[in-house]
Amino acid sequence: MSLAFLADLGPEAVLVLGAAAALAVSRRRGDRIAWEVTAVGIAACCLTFADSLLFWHASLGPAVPDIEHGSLLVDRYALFVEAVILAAAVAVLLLSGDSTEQLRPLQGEFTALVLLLALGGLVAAASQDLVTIGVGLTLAATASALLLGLRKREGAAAQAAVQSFCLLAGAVALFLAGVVVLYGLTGTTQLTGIAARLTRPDTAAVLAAALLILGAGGLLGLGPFLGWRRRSADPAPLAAVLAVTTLGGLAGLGALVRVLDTGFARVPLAWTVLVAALGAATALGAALLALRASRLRQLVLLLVAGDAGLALTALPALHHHGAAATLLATLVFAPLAAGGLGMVGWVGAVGDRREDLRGLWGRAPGPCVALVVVLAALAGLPPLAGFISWFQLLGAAMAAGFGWVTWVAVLAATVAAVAVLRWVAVLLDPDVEGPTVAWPGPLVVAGLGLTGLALLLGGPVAGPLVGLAARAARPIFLGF
Amino acid sequence: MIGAQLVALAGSAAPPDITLSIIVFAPLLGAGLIAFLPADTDLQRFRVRVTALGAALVSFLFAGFDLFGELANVGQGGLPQPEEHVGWIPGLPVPVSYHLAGDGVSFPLLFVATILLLVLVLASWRVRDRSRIHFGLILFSGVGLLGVLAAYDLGLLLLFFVWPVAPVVLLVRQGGGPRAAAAARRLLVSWLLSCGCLLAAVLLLGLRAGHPSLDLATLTTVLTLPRGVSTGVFALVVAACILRMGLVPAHLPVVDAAAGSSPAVAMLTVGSGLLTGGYTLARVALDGAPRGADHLAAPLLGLAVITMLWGAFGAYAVQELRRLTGYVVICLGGLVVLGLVGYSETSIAGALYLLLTATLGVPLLLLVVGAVTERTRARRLGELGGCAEVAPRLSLLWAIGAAGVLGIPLLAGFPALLQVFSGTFPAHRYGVAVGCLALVVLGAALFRAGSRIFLGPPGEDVERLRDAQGSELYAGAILVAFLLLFGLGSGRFLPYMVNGTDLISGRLAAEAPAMVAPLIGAAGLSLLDGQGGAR
Repeated sequence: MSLAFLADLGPEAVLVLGAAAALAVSRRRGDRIAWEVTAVGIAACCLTFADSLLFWHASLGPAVPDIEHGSLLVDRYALFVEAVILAAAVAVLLLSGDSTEQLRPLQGEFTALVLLLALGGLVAAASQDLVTIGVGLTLAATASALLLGLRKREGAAAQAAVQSFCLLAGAVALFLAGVVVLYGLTGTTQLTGIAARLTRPDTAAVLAAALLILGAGGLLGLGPFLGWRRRSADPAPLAAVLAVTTLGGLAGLGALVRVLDTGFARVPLAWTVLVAALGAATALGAALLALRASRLRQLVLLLVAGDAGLALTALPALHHHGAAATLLATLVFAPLAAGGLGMVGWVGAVGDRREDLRGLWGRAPGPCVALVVVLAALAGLPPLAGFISWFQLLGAAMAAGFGWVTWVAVLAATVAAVAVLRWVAVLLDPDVEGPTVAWPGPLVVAGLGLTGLALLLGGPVAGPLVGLAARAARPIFLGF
Repeated sequence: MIGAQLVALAGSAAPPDITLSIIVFAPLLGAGLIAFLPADTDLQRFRVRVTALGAALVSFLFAGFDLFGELANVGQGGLPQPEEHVGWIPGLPVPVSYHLAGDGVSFPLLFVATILLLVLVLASWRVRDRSRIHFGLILFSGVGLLGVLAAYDLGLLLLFFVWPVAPVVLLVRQGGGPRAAAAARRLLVSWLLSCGCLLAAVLLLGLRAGHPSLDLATLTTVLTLPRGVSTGVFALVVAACILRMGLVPAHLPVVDAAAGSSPAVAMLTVGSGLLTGGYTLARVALDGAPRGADHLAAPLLGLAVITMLWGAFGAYAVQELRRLTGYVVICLGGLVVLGLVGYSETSIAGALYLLLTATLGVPLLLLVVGAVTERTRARRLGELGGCAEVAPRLSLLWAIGAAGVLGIPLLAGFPALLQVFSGTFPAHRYGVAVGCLALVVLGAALFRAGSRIFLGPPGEDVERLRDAQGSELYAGAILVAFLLLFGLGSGRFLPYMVNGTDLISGRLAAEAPAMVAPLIGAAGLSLLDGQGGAR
């Protein structure tokens, strides 16, 4: 029996070993434990990325999938999502560098859970079997719930964590129920097999698609899960919210693209309207809720949820251009979510209520400018990365025949821009006394610098990013 | 062009010409520099102002040098030159290229936009509170204004169209007080909706044109849109421009912004709204969707007529000085639309020339009104009088500004309105009659306002009034100089513009021959036919 397939599981193995190493390091005593644990986590991500580089050469050829062992599928799409998730994990670890006090004495557990959450995303994206995708989502959901419950001794935090666990478990259950229905319809859980046998959009197919979409959408905070995303964020440590929002969202997006565009490519009627409606409704709902947000954390979370909703609106364009637009949005989603919540961590040190931040420009112009840039990117204002992604998403939606999505999305973007500009006006309010914002630690500075650079340069150098996304999207539609 | 000439002098191969990028992005560089400059002391604030002025000057000088170079051969007006074209976002459903170009339609407007930016910096020279935000936002919004006029790809044009929304709204909001906040809110919603309409039009145009490109060179010379799509695109662009320019029925946000913000911010709001809206109407709606223009000519003419009359009678009826200037803008916007709906090369060139005139004349009126109302604290016409005695320079600036927008000979408005009326007359003679009536009413309103402010017995607050001096005077002098230059030199500028608009009217004639053919004979009415025909 050949054991060559073990080499193909190298990236996943490195992440698991990294999580174990982080836990081991955190058991030691010393002042620099937080640094060391973070370094272990970042090193694990970098090693995983380095290991995945071995697949790159193979994946550049015309034959896709390049590496296929059972349910494991390492193609350009998987490698793309893997790179994005690992970069996001590094950003999360860097941006939570100043959360030592909040996380003490669980820094090791935090880092390990972040790595496991990333692992869940990797497994969900690099699989052609619905059961394995479900395993990846379960891993991500469990890690998310545990992260949100890190403050287990605080009543509100524990309650929110239990609620999150129930909701995320429910989301995974919905996904698995969808898998069961599909298995009943087609007799297989392999996506290619499903695509070959699922040719009519009957009621069962629609039900299966709806269950899968709602299940994976739970991690994204779509539609019915939007309220949960808002409520669970308040009592949990910001670092945990950052990880769950960024990495959980990427895992959900990665799984949805793979499942819908590959498995359901021949029955678009079964799911395209639902996805477009869910995405547009999430974007509009999040924007309307953002208008009423009185705390920066809520505002950013809602804007991120709105961006995730918008990212789905291009999926109905059953062409690799549509998937490429979604992947570009995925690529942009990572720095948007991480940068936005990272800024909440930095600027929110003086309080994240609207009144706390009134007149921030006069007290701390640097943090104020950085916050304005991030908020503008979240609202999709030009010339930042968010605008380019938004434009392509709406183009793809319109190309798919969903012109109404464009109108809803324009309305959502208008409302989101109004919400953001109201906050910006508060930030620029003259002559308001208050505390200044201290500079964060070097890890957070590095994290903010990286995400900020990605948001700023994502617009002007969008061409190469789009090229990457287009290459990554190609194998999804191969054979259809 | 300048870059190419420098290297040609050095004797090496020609590099890519990046003049337009310099013109568009020099203000962004200035805004970036300003963000890092301290502004706690007078000296530091002076540095902030000088940086802003330097950035605006760079754009102005590059644009001026290039434009006057192009004017040496008026035939260049039909060519996109200078031009920069590189791929930017290829491959997706709506590929976007970084395509900047200046031709007879856009380059004179681009030059005027750089003048406006320069004037805005000078008019803001006395801003001391939060000067970094003020100058930074002005320069930042200037990038959007210049970018719209230089963009030759619809995706890029859309990006620049959205660009100034946030900074302009924030500047209006900075005016302070509930009135400014309400004006900013209304302007924000109005302009964001205009962006949404343009976005939908651009996507429709890009996706239904049958060719995966948003490049204007491709869209306007190769492709023919189906009639339904063309009509949809045209209607959406018109809606976007109504909202952006503040035409009836979406005029209140612009009037409120002009009334509720500082003179410089009001200049920026109305100037950028008029320029970007009017130019987009000509470039995207007429040039990009000519069949829709054929189909919707009557509604567009109706819009022009209502807007002209509403603006003119509104200006006559209103008592508040700042709102009066807002109504002047509305009336001029209606005249611009009247010129565009004439669909002949003469009338379209006249409409664009009128845009250029409004961009110089209205800021001059706003400068004077701002100075008078801020110093005397009087806002209504009845509260003022006899200001000419203490402020003769302000009264002169008012007279020139009013004469400029009313089309008095020697100033830029004269050739502009002559072209608009003579070019539109063969197609819409009643529309022209209404335009003349609106102009007469507007003239009466401006004359009445001018006489109430500057003539007659002095009002109670007049002793507080100071005459224009320093940067304010320089800003006014620049506007007057260019009103004169574009008036006296229209024989140089208009043929260049007509060569650009010739392509638009030619496309309209090709797509809608029944409507445009009768106008071709009317080209003889053009003052400049002889020069235009020399190309």
